Amino acid sequence: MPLRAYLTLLRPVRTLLLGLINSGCCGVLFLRYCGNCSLAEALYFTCVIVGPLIFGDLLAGPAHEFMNRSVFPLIPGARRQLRRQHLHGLLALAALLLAAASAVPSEFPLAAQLGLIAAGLTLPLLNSRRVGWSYFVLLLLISPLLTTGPRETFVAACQAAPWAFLSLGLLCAGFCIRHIFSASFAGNYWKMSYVVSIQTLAPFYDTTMMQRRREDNERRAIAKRTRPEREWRIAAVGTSVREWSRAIRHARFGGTSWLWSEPGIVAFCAFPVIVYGAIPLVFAYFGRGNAISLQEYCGMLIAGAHGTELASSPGHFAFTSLPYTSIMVTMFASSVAAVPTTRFPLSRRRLADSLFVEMLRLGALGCLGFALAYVVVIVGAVLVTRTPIDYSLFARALSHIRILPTVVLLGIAFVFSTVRYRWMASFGGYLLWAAVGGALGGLAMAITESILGAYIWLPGLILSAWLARTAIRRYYATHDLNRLMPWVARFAGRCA
Amino acid sequence: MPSPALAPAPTAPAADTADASPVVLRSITQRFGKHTALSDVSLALPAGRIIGLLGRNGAGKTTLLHIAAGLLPPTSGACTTLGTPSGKLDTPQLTRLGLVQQEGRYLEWMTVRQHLDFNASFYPSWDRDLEKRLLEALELDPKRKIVQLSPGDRQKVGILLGTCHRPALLLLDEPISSLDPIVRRRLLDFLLELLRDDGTTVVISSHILNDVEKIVDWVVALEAGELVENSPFDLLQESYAEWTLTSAAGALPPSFAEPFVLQQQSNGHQAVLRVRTTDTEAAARLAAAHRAELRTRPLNLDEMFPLLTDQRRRRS
Amino acid sequence: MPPLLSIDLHNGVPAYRQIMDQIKLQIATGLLPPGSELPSTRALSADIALNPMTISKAYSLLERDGVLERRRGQTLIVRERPAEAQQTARLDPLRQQLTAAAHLAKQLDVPPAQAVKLFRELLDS
Repeated sequence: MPLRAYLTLLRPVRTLLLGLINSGCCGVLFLRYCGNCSLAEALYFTCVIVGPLIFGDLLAGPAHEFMNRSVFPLIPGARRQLRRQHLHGLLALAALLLAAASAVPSEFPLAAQLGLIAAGLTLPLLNSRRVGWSYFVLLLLISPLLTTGPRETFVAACQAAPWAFLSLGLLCAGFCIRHIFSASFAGNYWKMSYVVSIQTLAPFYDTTMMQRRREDNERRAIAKRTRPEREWRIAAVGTSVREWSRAIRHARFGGTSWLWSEPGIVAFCAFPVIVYGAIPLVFAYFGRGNAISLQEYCGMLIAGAHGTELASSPGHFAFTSLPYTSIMVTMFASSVAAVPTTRFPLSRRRLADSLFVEMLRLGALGCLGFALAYVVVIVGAVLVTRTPIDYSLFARALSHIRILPTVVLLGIAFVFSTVRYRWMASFGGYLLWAAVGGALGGLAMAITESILGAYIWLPGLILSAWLARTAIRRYYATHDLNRLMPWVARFAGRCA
Repeated sequence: MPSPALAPAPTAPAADTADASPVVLRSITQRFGKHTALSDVSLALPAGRIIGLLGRNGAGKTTLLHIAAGLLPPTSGACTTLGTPSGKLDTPQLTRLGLVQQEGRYLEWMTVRQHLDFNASFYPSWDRDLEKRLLEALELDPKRKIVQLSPGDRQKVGILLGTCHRPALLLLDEPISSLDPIVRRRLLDFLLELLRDDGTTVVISSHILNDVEKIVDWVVALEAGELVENSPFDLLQESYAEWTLTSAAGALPPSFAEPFVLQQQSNGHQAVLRVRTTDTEAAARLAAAHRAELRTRPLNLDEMFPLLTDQRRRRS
Repeated sequence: MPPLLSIDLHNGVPAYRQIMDQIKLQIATGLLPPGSELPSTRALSADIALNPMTISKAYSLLERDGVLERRRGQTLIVRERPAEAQQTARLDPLRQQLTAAAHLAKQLDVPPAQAVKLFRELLDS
């Protein structure tokens, strides 16, 4: 494969940019601020451990993508040439990373660095399903290792036996390359489910490809599914919006058993609160020199539930995550629109109204999830610190939740008003929306804290519900019913 | 300048027929970004007929059907379906409308039986007996999940979902391309039955002209987004012909300049012309003018099709 | 007894014309004697899988030409026709067939006398 063909596949500029941005955020910033590393340490670990993983994944993406296409086994010599070019890429990146690492003074021997870089660059090759979040999870697991107690042991091991690390790293690299580019693997890979690299999706996470992948995966999942589905027992659907929203609900969730869908939404929305509370806990607990015991942490949670300042301690962070995680509830709610309407015999207005009713239901479930999560967290904290139960605590914390429905409804209105801007369905759109939602939430919290809050909450809620319904109606009045909304199609996941 | 023998460009519908027509388009233009799918199309479909919607790929047939079904609001112009503007179609009209899409989206997780029951609950006029007969005729196993069906079977699902409620207007977009010949024949028989029993207006868009020819009695043809034909099928059959001229005395001219001659091949002694004219004396006149024997042969739809779709370029 | 029609939908000749020609032929050859009933549009359409519009057009044109008449409101029956009309009816299909033969004879430069002799031979056999 000539170099030019490989570069067309790889899109080197995109690869480098994405790699640098990701390393910067997930590597340097994360390690520095969440992991309490010094800047030099953060840079160094990024070059030697986190960076190779990120760049290795970026390099593996195009290789996986090409091997996954049905035309690949028919091209003579493709496998060997792809492997050769991939090796070239690996060597180039390894050299770059080594050079960057040597600019930072550190106590790691060169051999160990090489070994770590080699392993890091090739391990992502094994991620042949291209599960998107796999290396984030990996990073999450590794970072405590690098920033807390076990770090000393790790450094000592590297210094004591650098050649062991080198040989292990090279062995690992050899194994990964050999396995992925072997004839047997390549011979089966093109039959597997559709895989796409990040370079192809970025910068706007092209939704047609995502949809194609989603549809392909869904088919395989549905074909394998043996869980019972719901029954549709209604003989004749009348003309009321309530009946039609039930029909829409069946179309959207009928394929999943009752156990997984609605409780699933509640659990899914509760999960982030718990995670937000837990991450600082993990770092606080293992932090070098800053160790907080569980008791102290729970005390902070309770103090945070009382207080009003934003994010001054790990505990309080959990409670102010609200505006940012409302994005998830909004996405669940709007994903109702992913139902293929198969031309329900409904006027466009009635369709919009029925979808709105269903969105309200799902939004309510999401908010319920949050509320439950907060209650659980508080109850847990109270039990651990053995403070007497003070019901004002619950009231305080739950009062934070009262702005969530408003923010979610405004989010739905925002989503449906901006659909015609295609870039909104992209990663950039998410960021914008998160910023807007966050700002809105913060503002709403500030307003509702004051005595004025009690009076404007209900009118505010009604106004946002009206805005949401109007936005949905306007959208469906002029929209091509054949096309699914791009970003809800992406988020509808395996439910439809 | 077109001669009187050439068919005139299709014009907007007359007022009296427009009222009874199930689909009336007035100056419909549809743009997708820079691409113009339909450009200034006006027509009124006749009721109670089987209408063949013909055109090459990308001519705008699917777009036209989607606009008529109210799925797509046109960029400009107005469409009236079953007496209502297509943007305001509501349950009373939609329960009398059936659309079979070329690439329809169904609820993949359902079995065929479940999807039929689900849809049946929306339509009061759902005919269970027709559904049973159609399932048998199309040879579709109702217990299979839609996600597992082959493309041909998916087409059959689309046909079932669009037809079993006995619509007054049935729009079919390439419904038969993936079916085997025996099942195809059965489907065409069912369409005829719907027309006979209910006076359904059927619009069928298909590339398989051989099958379309068996049942249509009206032809609407599109080419590059423009309407190039809107006439009864037997009028077309009577207008198009292939004339073979054999020269009795002397050579024939290398080319014939008459405006109704659409295609020609001439080698001096014999000429084969493909013509379109409703003038019954034109053949005799031509033969007399060139002192030649003339034999005529009618053209079938496969042969007519390239001449039909070429009319747009000819006219401009 | 309903007439047996064989319609070729792919030869470019309009179906209604084929129906008309075949019914006229059957009347002329005596397969459909005067007074016999023709099936309704619906029944015939179901029988030979043809568009009912086509059949009703054929029927109405035959009625207009005086070949069929409507009795008792709905049913169509073959009309009794005077002798010269029957004569023309018999000669027309034959004329159509012979036109092509005449053209061919001219092209092959067969003199008319020989062509007629050939025709007589074929008739006698």
